[in-house]
Amino acid sequence: MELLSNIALGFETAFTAEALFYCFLGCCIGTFVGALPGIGPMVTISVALPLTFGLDPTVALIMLAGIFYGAQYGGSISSILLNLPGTASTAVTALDGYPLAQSGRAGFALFINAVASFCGSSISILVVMAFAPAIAEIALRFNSTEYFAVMVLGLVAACTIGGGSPLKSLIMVVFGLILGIVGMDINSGAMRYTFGFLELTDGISLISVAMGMFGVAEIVRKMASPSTDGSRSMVRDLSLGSMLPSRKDLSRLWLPTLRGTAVGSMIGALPGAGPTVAAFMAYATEKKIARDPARFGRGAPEGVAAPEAANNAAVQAAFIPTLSLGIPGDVVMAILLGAMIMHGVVPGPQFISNEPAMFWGLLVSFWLGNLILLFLNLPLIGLLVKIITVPGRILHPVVIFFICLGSYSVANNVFDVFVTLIFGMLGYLLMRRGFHPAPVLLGFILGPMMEENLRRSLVIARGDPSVFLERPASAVMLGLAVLLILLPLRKPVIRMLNRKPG
Amino acid sequence: MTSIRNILAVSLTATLGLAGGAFAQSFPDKPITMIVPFAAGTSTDTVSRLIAEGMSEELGQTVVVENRAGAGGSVGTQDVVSADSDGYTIAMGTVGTLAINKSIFPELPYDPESDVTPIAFVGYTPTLLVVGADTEFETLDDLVEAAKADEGVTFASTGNGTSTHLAGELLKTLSDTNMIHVPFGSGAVGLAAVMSGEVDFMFNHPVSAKQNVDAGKLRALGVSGAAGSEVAPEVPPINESFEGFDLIAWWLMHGPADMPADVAEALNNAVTTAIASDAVTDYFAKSGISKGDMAFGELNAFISSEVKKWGDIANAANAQAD
Repeated sequence: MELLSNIALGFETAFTAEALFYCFLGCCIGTFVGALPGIGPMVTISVALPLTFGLDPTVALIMLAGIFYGAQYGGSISSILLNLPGTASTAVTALDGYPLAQSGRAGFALFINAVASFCGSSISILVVMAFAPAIAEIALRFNSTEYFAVMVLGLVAACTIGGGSPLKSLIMVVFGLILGIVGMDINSGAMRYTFGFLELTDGISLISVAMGMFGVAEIVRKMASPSTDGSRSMVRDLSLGSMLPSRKDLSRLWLPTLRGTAVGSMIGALPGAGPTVAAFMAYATEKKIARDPARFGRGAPEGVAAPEAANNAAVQAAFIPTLSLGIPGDVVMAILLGAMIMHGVVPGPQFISNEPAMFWGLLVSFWLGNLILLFLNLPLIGLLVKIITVPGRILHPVVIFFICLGSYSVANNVFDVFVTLIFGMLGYLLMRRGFHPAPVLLGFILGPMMEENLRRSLVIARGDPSVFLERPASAVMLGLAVLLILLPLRKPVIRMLNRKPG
Repeated sequence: MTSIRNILAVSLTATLGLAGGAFAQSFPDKPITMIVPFAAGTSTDTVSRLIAEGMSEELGQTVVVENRAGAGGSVGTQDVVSADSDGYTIAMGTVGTLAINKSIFPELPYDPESDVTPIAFVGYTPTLLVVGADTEFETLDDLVEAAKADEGVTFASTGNGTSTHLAGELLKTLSDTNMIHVPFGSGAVGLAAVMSGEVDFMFNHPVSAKQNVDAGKLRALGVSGAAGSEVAPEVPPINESFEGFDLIAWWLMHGPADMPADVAEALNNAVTTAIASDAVTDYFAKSGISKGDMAFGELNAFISSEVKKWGDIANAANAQAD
């Protein structure tokens, strides 16, 4: 009952004309910048932050948060339509979303994206409402040992994510891991592969790798072979009927959506994992349990539904450690936390009891915002799909321009623009040889986290590696990872054993 | 920061304020860029934006904040150091960019003692030494006692060669115990590890630690500044147990070297006005930051003394990024 009265309080706060307006504004801006490749929520929120100074703190946060989760919706639009992830967390969506769009089902893919995103967010918001403080406590028990085990499991589960040759995927994962090494080693402070560039001290920018290998490479590929552009077929049928999933689709998609939501809510609540990891994990889960994993990477609708549900759920769940402990999980959360502090509100354990109207108002506004996004996205699908028909000679320079702008704006540094372009060339060469960029991103994101947590666990355990097996959660996850490696070897080994006697 | 110096500083800055005010009519005739060498949302960013707001009002020209993060603030600072010294490009310097980095990055392209013109001391804050509430450490002595064992105790930091790392190293040196450094990329995640008891202690800014202390999730055992902390007056300074332990994090506005004195004074005046504004007063009070109280002429000497102080700690700890 207390929950209901709290939600009622939230509605009171979130249902004012001002709050609704800024929620709408935030969602619109978020969708827009999310869809633009390179320009993500981080940059937008830092730009919008000073503009919100005159607003009531709750309203300001409603708008800034709207930009954050709105960008997840927008990011997948460009992933699906153009194979250019608008934000890194929607890169996975491109794996199956883009093939779907190329086979003429762009509207359908966008529809699934919007609905799965909405489901993921809404359920995750309910989880936050009901269990935020409890989940925060559980997340705290997650030590570096468990983080390491999750990262290993994620890496093993998702390393064949790119579709096509598993060996090529593996090579790309390792390439990503190597890229992740660049920068100042956090433990010793030693510079690794920075070649004297001060700009590389904090590592290669994620945006540069993602936008280069996906975005620039894709544009170069399209320009190099304009004949393979399937745009004509893609806009054949834009009627509502073509977008709506059939009953068969629905029965096939609701479980992946729920699983994606579960994965996203869990990963999102861990400070230091984030929506990108959640999306990769959800996609890997679907591929592992699918009866016919070969469909993935060729336009499997589950490959859109699960990661979209997951990254949106993770974005909402990421508010748990931020609001209830004052611990931001990623950079965007850190900026939102900074925004709260600037508005005179310090999130922490007492935030919920000190500022109930704000806490519940925010959560209810998240839900309203997702509803707004759903209704903003569905009618726009018809219009959005037409983006594909924009002639390449106009579309490609515009996209390259935004990618450069986005790479620059991360740290306001021209250096990063060149890094992006270098990765673009590299990505194009790799793409032509059949190497997919998604596994690179996976290795690049997980590698440094894995190394950091491995070394941290060992330092804390005073160098004793048995700590990974002594802690039950970590032992189970590492065991699963070993199983995942051994399972594919099962058939060849049995075959070999059978052959021996004969 | 004695009280006599306080009074001196206030009266000095007030006089400077008058002088600068007269000059300010001609100096800024276009927007000023303030480079913040850290990411948006960091405490340095928050302080900078609030100060920029106040400065814009005072100067009648917009002060545009630009975040240029990287290499512990060295990237953005280098950009300012190599900019024109006409006063239109200034930076928010910190204990990191203007003191610690010099001994941590051997290839630092600038020298904080000769390549900058200090403009104004903005503010400073001591850090709190916190432990998890579930640990057996009730006092600093408990912690130091535990650190005498071979196993030692662990401390989290925001990264190798940061002020939180060096503070731990100083405590280790002064107490001659076994304290093991566990670097975290993000201070927030490090604080979470202290809360859960995974890591034993950490030096943290009062703003993020205080609420968790009040809620009983963390315990504050000491203050890094010898003068104590305004937001946590009940916590004893570490200096009481280990003499010579006096570390503060600070912010100091600066420009490139050889900035004309009148321009620097005009900017000093604007910063002084901004610090006195309600928004800054309010934010500083909430975050445990004390207002800068240093005369314009003392700034160079202050930077030199800090470079030396942190350099000694870094040398003792043998912390270096190479």
